[in-house]
Amino acid sequence: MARDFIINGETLVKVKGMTGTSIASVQELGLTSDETWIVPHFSHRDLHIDDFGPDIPPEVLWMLSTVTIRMTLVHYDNSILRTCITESMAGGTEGTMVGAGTPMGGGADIFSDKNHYISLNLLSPNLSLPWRFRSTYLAEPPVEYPLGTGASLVRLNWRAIPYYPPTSVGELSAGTAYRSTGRVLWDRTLD
Amino acid sequence: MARDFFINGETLVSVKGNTSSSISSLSELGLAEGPIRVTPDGKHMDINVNAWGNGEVPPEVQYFLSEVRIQMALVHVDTTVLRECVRLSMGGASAEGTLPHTGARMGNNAARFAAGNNFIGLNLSSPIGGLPWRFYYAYLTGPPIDWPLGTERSVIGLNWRVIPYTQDMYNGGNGSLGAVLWDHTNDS
Repeated sequence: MARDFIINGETLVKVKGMTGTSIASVQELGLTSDETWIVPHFSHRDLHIDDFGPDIPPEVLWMLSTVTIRMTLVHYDNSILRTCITESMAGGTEGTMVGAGTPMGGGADIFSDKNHYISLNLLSPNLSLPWRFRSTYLAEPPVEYPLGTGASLVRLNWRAIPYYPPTSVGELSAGTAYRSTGRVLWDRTLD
Repeated sequence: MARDFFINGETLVSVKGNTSSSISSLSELGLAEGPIRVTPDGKHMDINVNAWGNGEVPPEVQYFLSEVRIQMALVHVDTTVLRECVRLSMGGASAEGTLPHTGARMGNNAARFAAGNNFIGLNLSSPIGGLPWRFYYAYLTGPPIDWPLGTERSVIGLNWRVIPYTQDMYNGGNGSLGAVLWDHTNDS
C-alpha cells in the first residue's frame, strides 16, 4: 500500500458483552462528536548487564501492552451506555457496588457468565480497517457526563487488556504456565 | 447551455411546514422588494504536511459539508404565514412569541413535514429562469426577522439558514452521502 492520507470515515462504536445483559448481542453504542483516539501503552523492561554500565541496556524485554481508547459520544444509545458503565463496575445494578476485589473476567470466557469485559468495536466504512478490542472496560476516568440544556457530549475512556481465562486450552490442567503468547489485544474482525 | 444573462423572474416565496402547523400545505409567503440572495457556505479543511511547508498552503483539502443562508426583504407578504414561520423557527413553540424548552430540537428525529419536525421547506419560484430552488430544512435566524412598524408599508427583512438535517447521521456507513441541502423542484 502506497502512502496516502488516511481517512477512517464515519466511525460507529458498537459493543458486545456478557450473556444475560442488554449487550449480549452486538449493539450500537453511538457516534462521536470528533475523533476516537486509540493509544497503545507498550511495556518494555531493560535488561542490564554490568559490562554495559548502569544506564544503557544491551537488550530490552517486551512486557505486553494495554490500550486506551478515548471518545466523546454525541449521538448514542443511553441505555446501552448505562449497561457499559454497569459492566465496567463488575456488573450488578447501575450505581450500586459489587464486592471489592471482584475480578472483571471472573475466570470465564469472553461474553460468558461472570465475565464483565466488553468487546469494543470501531467501524471503518471508508478505510475498511476496523478495530475490535476484545476485553475492555471503562476507566481512568470512565465517564464524564455533562447535564444541561445542550446535548450531552459524554466523554468515555476505555482500557483494553489482553485478558484470557486461565483455564483456556487446558493450561492449568496440563501444568503449563499461564501464557501470554498468541493472546489478542486487538484484531480487525468485528463482532 | 451557452452563456446568457440570467433572469430569474418574479420570485414568489412559498413555504411548507409540518402536518401540525398552519402551513402544512404549500403556502405563499410573499414577494420580495429586491433580489433574494442565496448564499451557500461550504466548509473545507486543509490537510497539511510538513513537506509542503508550515501549513500555509495545503496539498489537499477535505470537504466538510455546507449550509445555506438566504436573505430577503418581503414587501407583499402574508403575515399569518410569516408568523407561523417565526413560531416554527422558535423550536415549534406553542404560540408565536412564546418560548419552548431551552434546547428544544428543530428536527426532533422526525421525518420531513412529520409532526414535531419544525424545519420549514423554503421554495423560491423561477418563472423566467426556469430554475426554482427548494431548501429542505430551513429556519429563520440570525436575526430571523427585521420588522419595521410605521405609517409606510413594512418591508420585512428575513434571514434563513438551511442545514442538511437527517434522522440517521450514520446512514449505514454512508454518513452524509445523499443528504439533500437543496434541489430545483418546488414542494407541492
